[in-house]
Amino acid sequence: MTASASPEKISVLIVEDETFTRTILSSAITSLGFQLVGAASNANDAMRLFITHHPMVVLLDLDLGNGPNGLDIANAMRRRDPLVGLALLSSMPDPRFLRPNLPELPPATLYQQKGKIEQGDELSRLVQDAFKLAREQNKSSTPIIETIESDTGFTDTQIELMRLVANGLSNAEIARQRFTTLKSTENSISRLAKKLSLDGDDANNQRVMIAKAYYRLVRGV
Amino acid sequence: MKSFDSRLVREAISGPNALDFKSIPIYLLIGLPFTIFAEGRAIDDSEDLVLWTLAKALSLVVLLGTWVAARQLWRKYGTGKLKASLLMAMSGLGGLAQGISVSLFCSLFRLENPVGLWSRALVGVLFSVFWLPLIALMTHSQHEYMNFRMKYVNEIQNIERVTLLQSGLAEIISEELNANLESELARNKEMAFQKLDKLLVASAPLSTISKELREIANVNIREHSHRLWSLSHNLVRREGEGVAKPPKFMTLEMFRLTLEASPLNPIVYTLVITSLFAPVVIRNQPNFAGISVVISFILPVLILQWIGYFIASKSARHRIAIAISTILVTAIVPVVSLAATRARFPDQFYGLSSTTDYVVGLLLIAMFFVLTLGKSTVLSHEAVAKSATTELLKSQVLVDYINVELALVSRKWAQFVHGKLQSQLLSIATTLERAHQFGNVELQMRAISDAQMLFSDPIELFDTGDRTLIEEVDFRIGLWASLIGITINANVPRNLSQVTIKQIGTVVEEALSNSVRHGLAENVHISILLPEENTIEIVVEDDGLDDLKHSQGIGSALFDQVSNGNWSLVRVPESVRTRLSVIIPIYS
Repeated sequence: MTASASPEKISVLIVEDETFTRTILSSAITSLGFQLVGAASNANDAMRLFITHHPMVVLLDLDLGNGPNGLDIANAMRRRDPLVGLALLSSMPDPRFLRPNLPELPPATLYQQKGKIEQGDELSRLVQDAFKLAREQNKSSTPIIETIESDTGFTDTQIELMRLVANGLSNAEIARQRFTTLKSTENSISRLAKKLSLDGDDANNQRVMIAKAYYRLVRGV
Repeated sequence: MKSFDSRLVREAISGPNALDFKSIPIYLLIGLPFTIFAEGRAIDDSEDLVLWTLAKALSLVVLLGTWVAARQLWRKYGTGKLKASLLMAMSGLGGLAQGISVSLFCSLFRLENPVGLWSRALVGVLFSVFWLPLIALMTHSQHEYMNFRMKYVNEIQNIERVTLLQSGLAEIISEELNANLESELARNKEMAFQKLDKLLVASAPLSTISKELREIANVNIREHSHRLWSLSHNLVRREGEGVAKPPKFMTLEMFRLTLEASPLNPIVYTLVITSLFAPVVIRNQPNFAGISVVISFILPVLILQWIGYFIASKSARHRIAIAISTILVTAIVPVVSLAATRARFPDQFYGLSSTTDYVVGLLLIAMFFVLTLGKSTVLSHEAVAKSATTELLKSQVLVDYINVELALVSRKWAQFVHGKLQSQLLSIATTLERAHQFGNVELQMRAISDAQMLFSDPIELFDTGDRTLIEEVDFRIGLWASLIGITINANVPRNLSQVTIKQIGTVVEEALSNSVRHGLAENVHISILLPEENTIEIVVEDDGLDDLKHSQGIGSALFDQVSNGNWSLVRVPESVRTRLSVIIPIYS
């Protein structure tokens, strides 16, 4: 790691669609002494502010609602500026919960679960680490790919199944969407329910329980 | 005989249900009235008639006893092809035993036997040799049919139950949206204004106002959005709960499907009727009159069934009416010709009256309907399945529509309430705190102005969803415009339904996201064309990478869904571009 830069020398852009979180993050970044260059709620504002202010670090929310998500914007920013520090923030433990077939995390990009930031120091460290990682990447001959500290232990298939069940699809529809057989889908859902320790009964429909488990994981509902 | 399913016949006469004795009495009851009316009415003396009926009943016991004994043999030694032969042999054996026993009982009860021992024995064999295979076929049909029906009944009932569930939820959601949400918002609005008034009039501390706003956001609005969110969760389809027994009306529904599915097969029908009818008639009238009766009965059945078959095969729309008409006409006309034959040979008939003819006619109608019901598995299993599947798909479309609409509306509201209103309130509260902390009057006034705007019309922010095609496409490409260069050529000069507009918007956005995410394209060109009267073609070309491996995923499922599989994704080598074409049918 290179020597850490003092906060007032690091300019930060925030990309977050939820007003309250954006306000809180902006307040926190300012309070921690960083130089806040702007706060955007969507891809268009984010790219405009990015091109205008050339921030050193961008904190991006993964799920921005309709349109491009944080990963899309991070990839676009990385292509434009290999030195920019990027940190993705999300309520989800794993970006695969958002949707399948997402692009890869860009090189030298941090992924942080929002719920795990409890102190201002942790946010400050995240900004500093993102700043330093991008500079290390610039000196390195191979891309630095950060691994996501996901403790969910779910496979891609299981995450996608949870998402589809939570969206109300029947087994037949899931099989059709995933280009698999009905039998295979039924077996996969049984294994998923077993992994989630869910046993459907008269009072608790298994599919509803899977949907609840999914939303607990992605939203904390 | 194209539709004749030999597999089912093979299964029927050698399968585990071939000797399901529980159903045998039912099928015997169909044949017995013939002999009772044909032979019993010849006996004048009522005491003799009772004894004759007793003799018949006892012979029936002998028949069943022989079959039960033979079943043990069949189960022990009947394997493969031998099973079918054994089944016929034991069936004929039962008939032989019955024929002989009737003669023996007649002589035991000192009754006049109009037919004679060997004649009865011979007819008994002829009459019975096909009975067990026929019963096996009918029983197997019934089992297959029940399994088949249960499967579809479960599906249909699931759909109906889900629809009802959703309808119920729709009411709850509607009430929530129309009453609770608005009143809650109004209440919150009032509370907020009171606090703002305090701020403006009584110069109350900003921190107090901020605290109040936080409480409104956290307690009232958060709870409300969670309630809406959980409602949308409940829309998740409740699948897999077994349905114990299908209601009776479903038999009618499947019977309708059976009638609608395929035309009657005239040869099979005629063979079945002949095998039931001819032995009894010839036994009772072993003369020219009996042969005439059989011919005058069977020939019209065959001709009328052929006519019905021909008309039904030409007119798929009116198959139900044609099938019912054919059944009725096929039952009535032969009875008329039967009466005419009797009039032609009055001396050779004994005891048969026109009343008997009517009963025979009614029995025929019943038998034709039973056969029609059974034919769903024996003759037209696939056709009925196809018909039932079509019905299911119709229901499924409706359910999908309700499901998607309700889930979307409730979640949208929940997101709106939770995501926009709550966070905006909290944001205003935080801004007020910051303004208070730093003594920033400008920030304070801006926060108050934001709060006033928010509470003056909170629902204004809610997106009603209806857009024109241009608005929809502009909205979709606007989301991606900063990440990729987009040009568009849309020339669709007609009014489109919201469903089609939404489909086009979804396809455009999915194509854009694929170009950005997987193709890493820098430029994309979108064309929305009207190649034919009832279709719209969306063509998306980008200058991205040659990466078509992501074609099987959410995107392809979506394209399949909106275009019924009428889409393609190709690399155009000469222009080094990737070209997606999706053709969407237009629904009015």
